[in-house]
Amino acid sequence: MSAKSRKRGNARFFFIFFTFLLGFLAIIIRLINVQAVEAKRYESLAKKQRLKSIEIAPKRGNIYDCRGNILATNIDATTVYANPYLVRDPENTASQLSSILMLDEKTLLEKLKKDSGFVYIARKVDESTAERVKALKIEGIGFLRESKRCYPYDELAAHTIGFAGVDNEGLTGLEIFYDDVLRGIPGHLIVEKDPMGRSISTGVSNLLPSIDGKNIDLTIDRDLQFKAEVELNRCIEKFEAKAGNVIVMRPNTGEILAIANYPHFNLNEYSKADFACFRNRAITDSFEPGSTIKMVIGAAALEEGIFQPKDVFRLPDEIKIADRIITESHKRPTENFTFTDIITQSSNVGAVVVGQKLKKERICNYLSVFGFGQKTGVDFPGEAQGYIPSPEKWSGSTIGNIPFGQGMSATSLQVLQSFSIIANDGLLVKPYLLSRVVDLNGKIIKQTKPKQGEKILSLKTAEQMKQILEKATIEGTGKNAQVQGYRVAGKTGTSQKPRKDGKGYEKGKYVASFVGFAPVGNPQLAIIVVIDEPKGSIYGGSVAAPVFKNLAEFGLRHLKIPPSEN
Amino acid sequence: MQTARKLTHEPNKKQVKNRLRLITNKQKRSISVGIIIVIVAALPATVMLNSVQRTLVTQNAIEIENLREILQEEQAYNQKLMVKVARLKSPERIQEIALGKLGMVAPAKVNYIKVTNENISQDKLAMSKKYFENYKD
Repeated sequence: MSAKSRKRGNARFFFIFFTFLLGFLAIIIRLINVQAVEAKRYESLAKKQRLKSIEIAPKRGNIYDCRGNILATNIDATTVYANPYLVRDPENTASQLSSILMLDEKTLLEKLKKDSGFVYIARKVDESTAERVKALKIEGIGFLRESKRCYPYDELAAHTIGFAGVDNEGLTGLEIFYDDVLRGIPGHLIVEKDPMGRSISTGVSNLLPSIDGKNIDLTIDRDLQFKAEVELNRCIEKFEAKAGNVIVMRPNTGEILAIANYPHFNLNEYSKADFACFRNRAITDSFEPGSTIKMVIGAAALEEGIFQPKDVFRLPDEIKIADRIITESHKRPTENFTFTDIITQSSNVGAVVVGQKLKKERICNYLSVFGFGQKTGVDFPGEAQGYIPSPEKWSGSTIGNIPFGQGMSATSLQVLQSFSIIANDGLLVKPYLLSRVVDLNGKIIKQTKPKQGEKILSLKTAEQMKQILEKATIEGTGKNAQVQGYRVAGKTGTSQKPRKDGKGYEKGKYVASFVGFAPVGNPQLAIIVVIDEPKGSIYGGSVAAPVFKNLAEFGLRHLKIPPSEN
Repeated sequence: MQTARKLTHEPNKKQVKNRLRLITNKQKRSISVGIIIVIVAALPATVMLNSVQRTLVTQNAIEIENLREILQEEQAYNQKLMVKVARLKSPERIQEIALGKLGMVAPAKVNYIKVTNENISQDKLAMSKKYFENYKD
């Protein structure tokens, strides 16, 4: 071999050697890059490809009444989903599914043509519908088991309980107010999946369990609630009223036993109801309370020592205040009225005379301490605070309407709370709906204990007012509220509805109400009945008082409260 | 004397060295063969054992999954029954049946009997107290 060819051979050798060397170096650099420098990125990419995180939805807590009756719970429902990549004939599939699921075919087709591996077709459908879809055996259509909120009593206490949405999140009522307690914490299951997306049972599996929501017990009594709704509906039908509400409360503790509202709706079919039906008007809507406010004016005058129950007034049937003439609801000659009569006979002129003596500052002060113009603090979302004009905003005629409940507004709950002060010997209690929070093991996590109320009135004034209000049901405007065997106290209210533009009152539109408690000796039930725009009769005494009577009669018997001694 | 006899039977150093080398080589060979045999036998055995174990684990996992599914179904059924019971106990339904199907009527008047110590014997009073103590809704 010549030196030249040897040299060429060497060069070839070195060329191949260095080429291989470079190749290996490139591979080593790439390896270092993949396995060291960018290791984390590739690891996460690999994990993303292999591992699947499945959210485990927690079970929403149940809602019970005060006797352990279930008001809201969960049942299993089937969700239909699709993997558009696997659906072979989207047009035909959309056509088949739309007829069973009652969905728009066009929307369904759009979903089935999406560039995605998962789309919801229908959430939480009933069993029979799901079975019909399953029977079609369409490739690419899958089923998921999900938990659906269920309300066994449909319409019962619908406004108070509220409802939860399709993702089990509270939307209205106590379902939203106690959502953080009821909802629970979702868990996660990380599983290894095969190329077809199926879980590998022996593969990586990491479970972070979900924490189910806690159960809550309410102060609501199912049977009283039912009776309240029945009586309210009957009254609404009889007087062809527009709306109405009833609250039943224990005056000494503030426990709300029932809240009935009309119009009502079915909690299991809330999507079919009108949005306006969802309002718990007893708490979220305010109205001009009318003559029921005379109780506050009377109590203030007695507490201040301005008048005594037997003081006599000579009252005409109308009185001029600034540019307004205040009249009685019925024409009558000028008569003698005792202070008691002014309340029992619900004299507007008398209330104005008492109001004039009290003066605006004291009236505002007493209305405020009785809880008007501020929220009661009840555990319910969207509570209205009502309105009382501050003394500086009073016009010359304001003293001629506030003493009988015009020119101010209050919620039914506020009015009931104020009457509970009289029933509760002058103590103000805060109304509440949640009795306790219980975990899944039955352990009580939180219990609402009625707070010792704030002293608003002296015992003497409270006793005097009890007697006056009792007299109102014996010989006054509230005779229809009498319950056989029990001493009942209460006050009627009939108020005109203010115009929406704030200029005067609507002609022929009234709100009839009655508020009272029983038995007078040891008040165990305080009830308010408010009927919006009754037709035929418009007075609280004839429209609302009978509802009170029927409800109190049932409630006292239901709570095993013995009849009064005399 | 004894020591002397022992010494006469004792092999010399070279003999000992050769014999030791002979034993060591033999042993080494047999050990190697043994190891190979063990490895050859153990490998498929391990593989077999492993696959059996994996099969068992998979079977158990599937069984657990099935049981979990059954449990979920039973719980769901139980929940459905609870709802059904609640619906059946609904005051609305009971009232409907009582008034509509059974022809019952709501009482027009409720009479209360006042029980005092004077108009009831002590025995009866004790009995009624006991009754109300045990009475549950």
